[in-house]
Amino acid sequence: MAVLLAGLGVALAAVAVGAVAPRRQRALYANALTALAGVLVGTAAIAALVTGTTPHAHTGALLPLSGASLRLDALGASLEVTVALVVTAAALFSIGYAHGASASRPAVALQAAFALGVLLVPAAGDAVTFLGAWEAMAVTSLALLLVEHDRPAARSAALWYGAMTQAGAAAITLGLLILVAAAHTTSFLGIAAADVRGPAAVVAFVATVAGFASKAGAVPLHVWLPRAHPEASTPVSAMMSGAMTALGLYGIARVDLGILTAIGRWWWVGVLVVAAASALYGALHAATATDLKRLLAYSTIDAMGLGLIGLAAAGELRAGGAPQAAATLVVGALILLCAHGAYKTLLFLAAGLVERATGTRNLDLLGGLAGTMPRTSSLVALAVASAVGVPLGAGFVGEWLEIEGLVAGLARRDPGGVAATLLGLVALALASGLTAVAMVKLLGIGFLGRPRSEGARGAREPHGIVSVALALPALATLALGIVPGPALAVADRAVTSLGGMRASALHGSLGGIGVAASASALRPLALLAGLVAATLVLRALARAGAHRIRRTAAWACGRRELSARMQYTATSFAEPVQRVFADVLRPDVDVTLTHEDESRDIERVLAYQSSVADAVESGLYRPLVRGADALGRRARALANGSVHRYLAYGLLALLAVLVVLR
Amino acid sequence: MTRDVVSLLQVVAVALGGLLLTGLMAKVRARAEGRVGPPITQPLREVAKRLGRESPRATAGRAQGVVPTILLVTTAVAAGLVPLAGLQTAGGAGADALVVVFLLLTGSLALAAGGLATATAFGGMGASRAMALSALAEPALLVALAAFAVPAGSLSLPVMLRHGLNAPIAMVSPSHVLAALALFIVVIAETGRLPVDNPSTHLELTMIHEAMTLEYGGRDLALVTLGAAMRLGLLLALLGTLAVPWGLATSSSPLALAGGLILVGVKSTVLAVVIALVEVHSAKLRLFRVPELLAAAFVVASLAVLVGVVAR
Repeated sequence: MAVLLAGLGVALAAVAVGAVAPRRQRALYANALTALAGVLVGTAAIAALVTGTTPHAHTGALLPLSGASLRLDALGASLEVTVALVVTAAALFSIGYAHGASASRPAVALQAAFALGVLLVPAAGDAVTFLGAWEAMAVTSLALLLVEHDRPAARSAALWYGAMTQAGAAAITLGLLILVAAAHTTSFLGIAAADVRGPAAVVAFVATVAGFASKAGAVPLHVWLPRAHPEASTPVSAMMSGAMTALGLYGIARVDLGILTAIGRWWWVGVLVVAAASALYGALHAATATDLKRLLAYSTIDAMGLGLIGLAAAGELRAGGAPQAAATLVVGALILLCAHGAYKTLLFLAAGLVERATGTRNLDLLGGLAGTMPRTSSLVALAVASAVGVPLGAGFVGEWLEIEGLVAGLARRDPGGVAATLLGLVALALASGLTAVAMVKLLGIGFLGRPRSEGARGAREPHGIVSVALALPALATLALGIVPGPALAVADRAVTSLGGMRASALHGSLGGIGVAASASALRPLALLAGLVAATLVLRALARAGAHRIRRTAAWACGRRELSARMQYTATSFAEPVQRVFADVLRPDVDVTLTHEDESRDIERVLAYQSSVADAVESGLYRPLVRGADALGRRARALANGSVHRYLAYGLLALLAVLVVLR
Repeated sequence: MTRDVVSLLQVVAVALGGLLLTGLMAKVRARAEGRVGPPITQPLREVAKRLGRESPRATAGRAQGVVPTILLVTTAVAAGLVPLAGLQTAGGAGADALVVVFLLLTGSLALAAGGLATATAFGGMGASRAMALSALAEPALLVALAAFAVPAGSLSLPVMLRHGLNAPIAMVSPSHVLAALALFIVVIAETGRLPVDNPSTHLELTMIHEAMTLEYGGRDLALVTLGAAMRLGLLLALLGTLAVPWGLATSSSPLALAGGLILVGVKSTVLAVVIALVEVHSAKLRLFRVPELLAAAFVVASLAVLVGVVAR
């Protein structure tokens, strides 16, 4: 407990230092303290998981009535490890990266406060502390969006984000208040013990799922995410994507899986449908996006959808009498969240470096960075491998577990349940295929090939602490991918604390992991040995023959040379996917053809423009906003400046009160 | 120890068999079209010839040298994992169907990234098409594997195949047949055969796999060709073994293993001839009609799963 409290204390100190330190030392000291806080909290969480203890503390002095309490159980601790990793990497990165507006006094202090908020959420032990930490996280991240308030895009993103996050917080507050009122206690343990049932449980379920899912970017509540992630400064977008969205799923695991255990299975099928839609929608948009950070933001929606598929299918399977499969799915989702935290942090931080080195985030203008920024490019390749589920990457472990759980769920007699599970499996498969399209595009167009602009040609590899910050999540994804055994044992314990799911459905050791019921096993170490051996054999054979390599130009169809503009771009790479899924994406394609004056047969300019707007935003939210706007304008007629009218309103209001209270 | 030997044997068999099957398919096509065609050993000779040649590389980075290695190594490890000759390979229980699928996926991702690395229009075109089709094939592939896995209750290949050996009657169940059919379509798409991709074309607008490998030459090309041939051999052998697991050696006696290896060779040959005949009698689909074919495979695979539930 002492380490956890020390960590949170250091995070608080970082906020204070950020607020008072002079300009030159501000970013260094505040971020170094935040990084230290991340290390301390992460250590505390790992220690709690390894020893099987549950650190907890309670104080009546901090908040009125209920007091504040911290309790880091296995579920919270396994999330806390992910969050601490993301916070540490982002803080280290900020030390070398903060500049301009993101190094201002409010920006540095708010970033430290945001870090404190995300570290606090998984450690909260009661509803009041949880809501306080949640709101701290939401408000600081909102304010961080406004750091660069002179840009209209940032202001608009902040408006969207503010509306969505506060609506979500209101829904969560409503749901938790219903539970607290029914259980007569605020602590999560007490609420879980009260076993709330009936309509109150259903309302609480729907409200909390909606609130948490909007934080995790579930469709159709995702509209804030592709705006906010690209507009925030790089370390903040890394924390938002790697840690904050994961906490949305943590909320669902904590409250809806862990407390509302009596909820009917069909509610979970509803959540599963939302999850499947999110995963597919996010993956599709990621596959067609051309802005580097927008691609990453949509891929966050995709990854959170995959995690939510695991949680929702687990809820359905638990209620449907398959506790082992449910446990496998929850563990898969937790590992997926951890893997996503690691690789997405790396990708966002690398995107920031690329933007700074080249002056653009547009993939259509990048390319050739493998030559100019080799170290960053190798790390990005590693993160991409982890994201697409290459064996030995962390992402594969999570996907493997989820697919194992879903296939176990298919082996039931009940057709409705099987159909729901099949939906989850199909969405997962298609989303993972589309993720591969998006990630190959990111790597192949952005980093391989030839530079498509002057900026990309002149890019330079950054040095110093930013590279260390990138290496940290890279190491984490490798460690989790190659030796997943310990993490699995730990996550299994977290599942036990949810109740209703059988523990030890899975077993993990240093050599690999396995699912007890199906005798399936994953042995990454042996796989690694096989791959290394095969590579060495190939190398030895290659060395045996005298082999020469000749540098030459690519075949140019008889022209002298190919230009960089002849390469495929991000837009053209995604064109087949965009065409196949045109009904969902509704792309806006514009082809302009101008002819020579002399002849209609000779074309002068051919312009192709294609953009994919968010169909949910234009189809669902725009009419809503327009309607609210019109209502507001209509209501303005009520207040026309006449004092007599206002007095009449007052009288009517008084009469109404008297009637109601009679 | 025996398991390691079995795995090594399988890798060699898949490498040789894949090249020979490629040659056989070209031969069958030629004969069916009334031509003599190149000898069956032609791909083998070409690879052997190119292995000794210098590799021209058009890109500045290392990508073009790394890609053939990744493709070959991942395919070789997958070939060592899958139980083809005997139930127990070096992978043991770790010979998971998903590991095999994602190892092969790694190879195709590397190939696509390599296509983009060459910075030519063809490379990008091939990569773009290959990735789009492989994304669409994935649901059909995973659901078909799930349909095979559900009766055995496991995605572990040895468990799945042992279940198939112990319950031979399940081989004619509707669920099993539908799953095999779906997997057959996916294998056609994943190995780049007609009607999805034409392996013998060099016409720009129809190439997928060839477009990605245009800039490879010499030994690099030999390795890529070998990798693609191994992929063909492995997928055909896997499909044959999953559909009809008979002949798989359950013991580690050399005789049983040799019998298993011969039988899996026979199964793959039959499948190769069938695919070659399909190729003769079908025209290449337009690129944007291929998703319909893959969607059909997906529907068939889903039916396999649902029929399995009803029959249980």
